[in-house]
Amino acid sequence: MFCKTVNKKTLMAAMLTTCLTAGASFHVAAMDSVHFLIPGGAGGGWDGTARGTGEALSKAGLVDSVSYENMSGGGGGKAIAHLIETADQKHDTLMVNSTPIVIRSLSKVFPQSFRDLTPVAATVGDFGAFVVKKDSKYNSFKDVVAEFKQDPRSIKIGGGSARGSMDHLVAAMAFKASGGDARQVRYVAYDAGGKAMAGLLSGETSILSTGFSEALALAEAGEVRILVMTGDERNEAAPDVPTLKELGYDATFVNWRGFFAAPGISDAQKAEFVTTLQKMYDTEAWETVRARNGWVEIFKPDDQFIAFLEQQEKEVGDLMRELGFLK
Amino acid sequence: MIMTKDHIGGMVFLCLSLLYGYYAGDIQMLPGDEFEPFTARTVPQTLAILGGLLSLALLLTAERTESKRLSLSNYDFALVAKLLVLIVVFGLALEWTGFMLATMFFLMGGFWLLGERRIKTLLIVSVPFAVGIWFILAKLLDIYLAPGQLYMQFFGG
Amino acid sequence: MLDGIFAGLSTAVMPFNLMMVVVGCFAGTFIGMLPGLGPISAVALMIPITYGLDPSSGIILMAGVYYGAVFGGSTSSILINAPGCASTVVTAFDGYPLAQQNQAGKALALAAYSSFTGGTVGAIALLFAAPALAKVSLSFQSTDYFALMILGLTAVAAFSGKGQVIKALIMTVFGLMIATVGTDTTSGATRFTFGSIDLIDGISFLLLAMATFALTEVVMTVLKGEHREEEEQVDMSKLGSMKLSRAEIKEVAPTIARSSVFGFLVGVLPGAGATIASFLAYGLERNLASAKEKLKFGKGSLRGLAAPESANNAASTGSFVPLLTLGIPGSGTTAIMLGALIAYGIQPGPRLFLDHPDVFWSVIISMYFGNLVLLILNLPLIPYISKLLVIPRPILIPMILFFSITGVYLVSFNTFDIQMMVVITVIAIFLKLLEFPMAPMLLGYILGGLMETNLSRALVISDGSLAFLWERPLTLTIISIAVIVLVVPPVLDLFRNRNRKGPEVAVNEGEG
Repeated sequence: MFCKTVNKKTLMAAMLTTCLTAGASFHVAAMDSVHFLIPGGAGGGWDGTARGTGEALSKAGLVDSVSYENMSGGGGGKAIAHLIETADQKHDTLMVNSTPIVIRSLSKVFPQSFRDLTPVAATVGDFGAFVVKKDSKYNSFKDVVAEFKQDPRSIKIGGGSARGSMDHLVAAMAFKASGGDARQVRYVAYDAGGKAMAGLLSGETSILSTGFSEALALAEAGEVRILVMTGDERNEAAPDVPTLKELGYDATFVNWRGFFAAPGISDAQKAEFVTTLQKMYDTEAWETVRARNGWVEIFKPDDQFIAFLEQQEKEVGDLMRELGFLK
Repeated sequence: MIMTKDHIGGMVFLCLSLLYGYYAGDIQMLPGDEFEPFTARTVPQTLAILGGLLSLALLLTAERTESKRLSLSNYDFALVAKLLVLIVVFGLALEWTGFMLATMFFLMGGFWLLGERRIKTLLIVSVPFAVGIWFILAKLLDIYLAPGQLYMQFFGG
Repeated sequence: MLDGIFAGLSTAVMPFNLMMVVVGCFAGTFIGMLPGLGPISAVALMIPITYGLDPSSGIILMAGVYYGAVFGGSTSSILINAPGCASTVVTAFDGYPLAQQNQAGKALALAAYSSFTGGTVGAIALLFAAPALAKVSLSFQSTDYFALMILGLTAVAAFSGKGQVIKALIMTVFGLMIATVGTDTTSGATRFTFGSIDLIDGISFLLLAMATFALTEVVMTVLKGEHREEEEQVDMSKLGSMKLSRAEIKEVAPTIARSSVFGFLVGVLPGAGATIASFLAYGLERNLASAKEKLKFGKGSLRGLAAPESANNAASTGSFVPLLTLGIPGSGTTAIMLGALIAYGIQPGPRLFLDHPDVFWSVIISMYFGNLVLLILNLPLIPYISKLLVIPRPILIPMILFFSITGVYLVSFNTFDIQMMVVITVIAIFLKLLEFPMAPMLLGYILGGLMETNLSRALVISDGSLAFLWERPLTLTIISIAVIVLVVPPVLDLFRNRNRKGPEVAVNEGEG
């Protein structure tokens, strides 16, 4: 109800503004404009996050106009460099990103890191999960660990990204927490999640390391079972899937997605972004988008986000050093 | 000694293969890779060897006939160079003046270089075309085309 | 199952859904003809619209857009040598020469018929064999994909003229080399990027194809001064004519049939897709042709045009098999559709046709309608579209340049790609002057990356043993076919030449 009134008010306000003072800025409840910079092509995960968030913001009347710009290249590095270069013209820009920004800046895919931008907030997240074929001999992740300890080479773990990137690191993290040697993990890299899944079903890999929401969808299709996930506690979407922690392995991992603004924007501007995003969670428009995409809310604004990024950078960095990806 | 097209081609690819093979040695190895049968270097090194052998084969089998010599007369390299420069400038203009102006400029420049000198024709073709394409992309299909940075600097972000 | 089909049929023929097919095909064709907007972007553009529709209508719309975009892409391949998307690159090999010979209308019509047959054969196969095929496609492991890529590379022979074998091989290796630029998908190591951030993602296939075909072709005509020649009087009625003679139909009919079935089967494999299918079908057709017909390939062979066009459409349909029955996307486009289906709360997979039979069957049936609509929609337009070619050259050439450049730019929005295209064009012009063929390079590029990742995966899985090459029956079979394809034709030629000309020719053969 409340949302609807806001919606109408903003609409009227917007109409009035256009009539009276074309182009002048007018702050009542809504931001004038947000420009989303998407570091990858149309149809990818980043694209979906930015467009979904933008849709919720504009439908809820929190932002008057949204625009989206795709800029791929350099594993996301192109867009980061662009945002930094043209920072003084980009006050209304939000760049979407996720865990790979931490991993890729550690492995020096691009020279910048999140410190060169203004972290605004992490908005949604996804956990890691391990999946097996429905007729697999493993019934629990413990079975896998037991076999891994006997003969690490016998377990082939597939994933939809290169060695040293997220799916591999999550697998290494899990086996390390179970007391195994992370360097012994036999990771089989596929160039896309769908192909990694086909590899699992063809029987060439025995386990698949993937995102929890993707795993849920696959499990629903009935071809695979989820053994374990990396959240802090069980998720209501699949209450029978245990967490690594429950099994006694002290490892958690969340792949966040969030937004960054250009470096050097004022604190007031940053605060406006943060409050706008925060307001979004209570709107119906957001709930529609969130449910459609199966996103898990993890709102970490501003300082919390920075602290979280620093911690993730340290954890992932330590692991990558142990695996030898960093010197 | 006659240098035919095949000899030049063979030499070029031989050099390329050597260079490629040299840089293949710079590819970063992952820890533990020295024990692996297959690394990021395997394919590049194989290709360098294969490329080298094939270039040698081409050099050795090439016939030395006059008809196969490379002749560069009768080619309008100057005009092609101008066109390619125009493309490069178009790429830069996209960033500075935005899509629509860059397109108009590129088309007019292209028509001009290829011999169309009537100013009226230049404008009649390029302006509606650029505006039309811009309208379809930006307005109908809602694809974001970045405004030029010059524009951004004059009118603020 | 029959109930399901009827339920699907009744959903598909609902006036609104029929309208969605028409709208989708029309929008798709239009978007596909625009530079840089291939099937992936076309389908992605439709997502916001489909949220307002019910699931069947939404997916029907997207499927229509998908076919339309693939079809639209082949139009620009044929007319201006600028492929609209990766899967129509091969279409340009023989389609563009045909258009150059003032047979644009015929080429476009043949492409339309081939697409229609390919898509229809695909839809029928999907209707009857989807679940069974899904099982087969899953038995393909990395080793089998590796073998398949080897088989694909034997098609190099298809792209090389007489006495050109070594040059074609060199260009293949060159293509393989270009494929290694960027981040290695297996190890994550960056290769040959020389510290440039723009090279980390590698050189895209579309960029390479646009630069070496569209740009280079146009620039070569300028180089030779052909743009200044008096325009020859073109017989407009002939240019737009879509008539295929009885003999020609007889010639291409078996090709279309073969390539449709073959393309569909390749499309069903989640690791292959429409682009690979079009290359393989072209190679297959060339290998099957008689020695005399072989020479026509690449110079405007009707068979060379019909094969990739049937195959890529059949493969596009085939890629719905793993999507609908297993929930596995085989291509970027189907991955987007998977996302859309999940957003509707529909999980594709073995249970899809039990839980949502109306969606499952209506999508398949509307594919059939979609192909029909495309044919009806596009045939009447061909005479008009093909007349674009009579635009005076000083006007037409910059336009083609513009379409090729923005075709790449609108995918990445990275102006570095434009400068990269210029560099590649300069190299390509040089190589063309030295009479090196371009097509083997594209073949090497497209197959090279897949060959490497699949081989390295296979080796990780087998702990470094190459035994899978002879121990896995499927791998062994495919490798054997590759060997037969390579060895048999030269041996046959050898015999024929011996009988005719005596030993002198055999010496020459030995060199190749």
